[in-house]
Amino acid sequence: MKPVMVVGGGISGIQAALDLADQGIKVYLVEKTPSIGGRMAQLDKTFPTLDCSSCILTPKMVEVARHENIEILAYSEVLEINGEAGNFKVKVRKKPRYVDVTKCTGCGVCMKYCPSKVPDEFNLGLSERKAIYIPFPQAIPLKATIDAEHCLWFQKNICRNCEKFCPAKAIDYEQKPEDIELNVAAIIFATGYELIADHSLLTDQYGYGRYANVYTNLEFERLVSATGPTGGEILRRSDGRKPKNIAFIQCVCSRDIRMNPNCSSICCMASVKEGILVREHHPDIEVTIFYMDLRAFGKGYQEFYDRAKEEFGIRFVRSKPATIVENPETKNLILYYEDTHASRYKAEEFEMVVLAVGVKPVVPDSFVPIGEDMFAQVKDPYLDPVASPKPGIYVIGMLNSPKDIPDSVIQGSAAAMKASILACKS
Amino acid sequence: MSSEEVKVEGACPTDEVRIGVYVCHCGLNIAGVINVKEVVEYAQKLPNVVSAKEYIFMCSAPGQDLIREDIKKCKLNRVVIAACGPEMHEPTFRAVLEEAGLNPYVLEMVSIREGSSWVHYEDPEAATEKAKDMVRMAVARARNLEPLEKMSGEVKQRALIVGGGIAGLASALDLAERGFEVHIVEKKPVLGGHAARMGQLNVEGRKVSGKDLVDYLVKKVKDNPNVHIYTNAEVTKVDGSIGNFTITVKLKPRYVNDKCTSCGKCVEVCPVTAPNEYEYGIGERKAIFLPFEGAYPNQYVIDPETCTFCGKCVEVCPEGAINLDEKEKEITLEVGGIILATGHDPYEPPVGEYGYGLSPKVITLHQLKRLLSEDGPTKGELVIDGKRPRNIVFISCVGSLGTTPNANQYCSRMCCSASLLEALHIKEKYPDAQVFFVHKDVRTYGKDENLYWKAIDNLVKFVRFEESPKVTVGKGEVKVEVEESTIQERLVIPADLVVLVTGMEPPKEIEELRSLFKVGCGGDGFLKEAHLKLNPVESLTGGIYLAGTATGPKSIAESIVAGSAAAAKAASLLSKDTIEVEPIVAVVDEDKCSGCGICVSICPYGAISLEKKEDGTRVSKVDPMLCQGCGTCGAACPSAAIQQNSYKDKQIIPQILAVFER
Amino acid sequence: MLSPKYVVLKKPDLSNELIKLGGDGIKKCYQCGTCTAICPLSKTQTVAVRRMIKKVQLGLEEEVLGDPAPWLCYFCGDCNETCPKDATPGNIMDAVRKYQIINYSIGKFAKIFYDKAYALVSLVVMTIIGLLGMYIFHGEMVTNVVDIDSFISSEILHDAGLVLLAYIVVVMLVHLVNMYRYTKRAIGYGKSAPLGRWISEFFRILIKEALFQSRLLCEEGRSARYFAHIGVIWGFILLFAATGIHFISDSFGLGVPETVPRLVGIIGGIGLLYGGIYYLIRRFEKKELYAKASHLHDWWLLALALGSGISGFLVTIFMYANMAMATYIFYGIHLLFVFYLIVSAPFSKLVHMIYRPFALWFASVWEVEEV
Repeated sequence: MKPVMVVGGGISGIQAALDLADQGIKVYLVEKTPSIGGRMAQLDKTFPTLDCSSCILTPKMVEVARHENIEILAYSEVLEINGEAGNFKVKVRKKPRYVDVTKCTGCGVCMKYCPSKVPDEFNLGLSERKAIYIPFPQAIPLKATIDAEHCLWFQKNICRNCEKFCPAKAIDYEQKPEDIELNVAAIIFATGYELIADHSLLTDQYGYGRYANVYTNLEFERLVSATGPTGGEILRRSDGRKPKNIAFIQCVCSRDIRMNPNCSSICCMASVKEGILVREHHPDIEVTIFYMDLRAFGKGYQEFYDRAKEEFGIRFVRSKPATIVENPETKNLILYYEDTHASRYKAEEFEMVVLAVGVKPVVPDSFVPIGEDMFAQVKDPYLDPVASPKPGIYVIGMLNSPKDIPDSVIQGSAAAMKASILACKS
Repeated sequence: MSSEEVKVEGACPTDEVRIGVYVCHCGLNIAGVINVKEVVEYAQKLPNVVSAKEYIFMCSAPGQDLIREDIKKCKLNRVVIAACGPEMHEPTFRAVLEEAGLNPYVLEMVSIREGSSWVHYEDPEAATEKAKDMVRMAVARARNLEPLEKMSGEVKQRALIVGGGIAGLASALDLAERGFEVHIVEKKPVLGGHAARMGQLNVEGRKVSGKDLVDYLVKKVKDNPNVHIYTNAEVTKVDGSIGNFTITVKLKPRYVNDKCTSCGKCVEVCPVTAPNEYEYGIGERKAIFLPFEGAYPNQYVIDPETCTFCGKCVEVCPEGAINLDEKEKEITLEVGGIILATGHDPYEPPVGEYGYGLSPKVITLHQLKRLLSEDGPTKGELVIDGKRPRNIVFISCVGSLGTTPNANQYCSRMCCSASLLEALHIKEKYPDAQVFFVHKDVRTYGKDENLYWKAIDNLVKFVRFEESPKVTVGKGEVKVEVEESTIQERLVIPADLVVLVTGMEPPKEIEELRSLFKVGCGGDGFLKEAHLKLNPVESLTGGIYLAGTATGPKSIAESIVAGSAAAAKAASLLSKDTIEVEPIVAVVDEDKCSGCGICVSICPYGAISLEKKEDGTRVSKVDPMLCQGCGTCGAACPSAAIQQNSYKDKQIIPQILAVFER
Repeated sequence: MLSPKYVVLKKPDLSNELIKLGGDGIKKCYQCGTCTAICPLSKTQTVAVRRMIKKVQLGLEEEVLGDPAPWLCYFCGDCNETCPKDATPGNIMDAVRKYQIINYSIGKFAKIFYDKAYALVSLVVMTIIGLLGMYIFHGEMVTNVVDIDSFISSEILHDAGLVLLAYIVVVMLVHLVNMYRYTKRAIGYGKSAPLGRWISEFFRILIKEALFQSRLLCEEGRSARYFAHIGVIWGFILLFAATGIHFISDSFGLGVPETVPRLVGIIGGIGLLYGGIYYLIRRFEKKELYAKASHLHDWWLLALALGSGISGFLVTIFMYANMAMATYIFYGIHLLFVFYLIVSAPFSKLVHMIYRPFALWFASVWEVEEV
């Protein structure tokens, strides 16, 4: 039985790895960032059960770390794939962490003494991390990584504080990229998604980046999270004050012919959930969700949406606001929209606006064929929806199509099944 | 009885009870409300507590390290973790204990998050006090915890798949290709379920019908030597547990054997007719019939419910393939894991709901799909009441979103896409037809948004409602009255055909399934998964997995993926030779047991039986592989003879008494 | 607020008719409402673009015919730019305007101005009638000095003018009654407004909107278009006034000096020419959204306005240059253009001069916005 490689350590990759490993198949789990966990690690709570995201994800991550059949290759990237189904030769580059992972204990002392501050990607830039960092407390592997681009030693040949203070003597500035060659039977790509945050629509029409109090949904997720930059307090970027009301705008960069005709599947429920979290913690903050079609399609979703309306008093307005204008003094935001259930033009002021920005897949270079709709092509959308047209390669999770956590998990398991058949034959 | 009086029984590494207490911050989930430091200080003063510590995330690697080191350093023999509920992290911390050389069952988790910080966030002081109480109780209970040994059982490397619909077939094919023996048990006389009757599935490119998909899977499955197919069969009994089930299957008589050449002479003479359930009630079939063209097995069958056993068919059958005396058979299967792919029923509107049943011009989406299918009763021609309808009105959310008193509350997920697909088929086939789509929200999620756009492009008319529309059936005339919410107009749409977009419901026999397989159902009536998000294809019962629409509405493609996913779970189980099970099971004190048998009758898992002892008296015996540790027997036992490991009186009573010790 | 009446869907293929008139965005719109909200004119009064499109999509013909929204629109193109479905709501509004002009008109006669073949035929017919009229009624042309009266006597012209005026008034009244009926049913159903409101709104709209186009001005950064439009409007008003002064002075022998109406006419002509040339350039440039796609009816109006303006000017120039024959020829041409303009006015794009203020008037009386 040959091993299987899973690329991407988000929830669907984790699930695929676990289901393969549980069948006694060796798995290489390749993750680009220093830790597995993916987007789900950044979420506060999950709809519709309001389970705390890290509380349900962490055990799976721990299971991956502890599993004898899984080898995590974090902070690594796939360089080359040769061969064919059943016998792939893959070259993987382990990027230098400049930290000896066999020595590092993840104690975090280095982070305390590092003088170089960098916007924290885990908190989407809402806070700062150090140039040597561990992305989040539950990170796996729990090892520090030096971000050479911002490290004073690599940039200006000064400092070396981390080396001085590391109790485990784990710092190694001389580390070089290490290329390893793997022989695997099948490859599962679960490279996940990012927000379509670079479109002019966001800045021109909705003022994202121009107006301090306009947030993306992922930023807001970090903002309400207990492990986030404000410790779960909802505070405005402009003045650090709690807003009186928040507006959520759905279908931003989704269902839009200019950049992404797909529905992103997750944003409706994410906003409903975020709205509920706001109302739960601060019943005095009014929440309005501007939507076109509220896509509460999954199990328990409609019931959750009903609760949002009835139990939590969230206001739902069927409309897509046309534009946002900032009041330069108060930094409040005026939304111009048509209440389509009254056919009336309205201008309404909000103290914070959250844009439910659509998703696009993170595409694994040229390793899988991509369709016109930005997502990975599949061999057969009905009979083999997780298989790429390239034999032996599987595409799951958000790379495959927009989907929520349960569907990503199911695809993870399904791809594991398909890959295990190949692995057992090889 | 104070807690000190209860002596610890069983083998602890040392006589002295040494407890470590670990309080988790859970980020701010706990520490944001509870004064963790105070709780730790309080715990340190409790009797037998040797060490008490706090950490931001106990479940993280450094948190675990902290506990491991403490166990070794302080020679702990009991561990209390005050954090979240045990559902999620008990396995994590048990593993920590094991790695540190302790028995994993001397762990007590106390849920100060769910039990205190989350519910009392408005009163941090009281929450802190409550957390202290909870910790004190946990310590009292922990003193008497016993080490337990996991039990293991053999795994039979075969799987049972209940349901031969598209999801079941997908599961079966994957497991068979992976090398496991699979038994498919299908209640109906043929494989394929609803998917086989869903007509064309896409609007452009490669034309695919549900039947094509089923045919593909059936061909692969029946050619695979690992697969055994039983149609017209029902599971009647399930014995055993994870890794080792014994299944009794009833093979119902078909009355027609495989000499049948499908010549159809029997049908001509059969005098009995019944509504054709394979066409969702459109048209009729005889008592002897072929469910649908090209079905597997492609063999006639007699429906004993409607057949009068008159014998006319026997007379005309040239092959002598009919035997009206055929009897029911029973077989038993030994399997390690079970996949329930038991599917759904389409929502059946009561007569009068939106005019259903009052006019041939009001039909359900399922019926429309049959009418538009090339293998359907009209060969794909849309003819209603002898005429081709011009104004066709789809009413969505029938039976869903609580739109009518009889409707379910949930969203049926695939109906928007499924009905827009049919709307497009109609537009493609009959360009002069006017199609109205009367809807609440259009929920064409993901890439299906494309269908919505196409429908607009093809001038399908979308009418949005908040208040459910009214259908009035007059003399040969059907009208749909609806308040269009986005233009605030009351519309009257004269309809030649009203299509009720019916959703999915749990199958009628869901209750029987539940008790047969000991699985749970959610509020929506569908089978309940172990965890909605992270274990969506596993049931709460070990060794039983869920595929397709058994857990809730899904599209055909999603059902196939879920079938593969459930197969992966089953494969994980079947690839092991032995399986370990939790030792937290009921144990019988034979000296106290009077053999009354109450426990036997109430055990929901059939885990208890009465056994004769040498002296002739009867005592209860618990099969630990079957026992799920629910505790029902312990509560019912009149002589307190049954107790449950880790939840014995000596553990629970001190815990309760500790409430009053403040 | 839910409308109290029931609408029976009778014309489901309305979309196709509007697609033919340039509203093919109907096949794209999914009703998000961005167009209504981005419309700069919505700030003063909701321009219910989205609702209008939905009515078209559903085939609510009478509701579409009675919706004043298309006349509140100046086709600035903001909605086209922001539409997430590229449904070009502005073009749909334009198509509905045409549809309304056609359907308000007697016997849907206006249709001919949206079809090249019909328009050509009507042009030929009008030219024949015009030339024939001039041939019959022309006098002994004096060629040594310019004497327009000797070409066609002003009496005959005045009579013809009166006939055309009567024609316009009668036809326009019929059209307006049609418009009122549809609008009353669509937005004024079951509503009654006090007479005082009718009167006050009439004057407000007449002055603010009809004469000074305040809604067009509110589009920031578009003042050039505003002045061109004002030029055209006041051009027409002043030219009409000049003719009126001349006529009244002549008929009642008031003896107003010739120079007064001529001066008024020249000022009006300059306004008309300025606006007409501005629009001509814009329509050739195809940069601004309203000018991106010009249809027959746009060119028709532009050609007639410019044609009558330019020919009028040439007549004046030749007259002062004392070139008799040239003056008469161009006077004949000028009369022809004016004749086209007047005859086609109740059916062509020019009719927006009347429909727009009336639609604004109806909308402001019936579609009262709750604040």
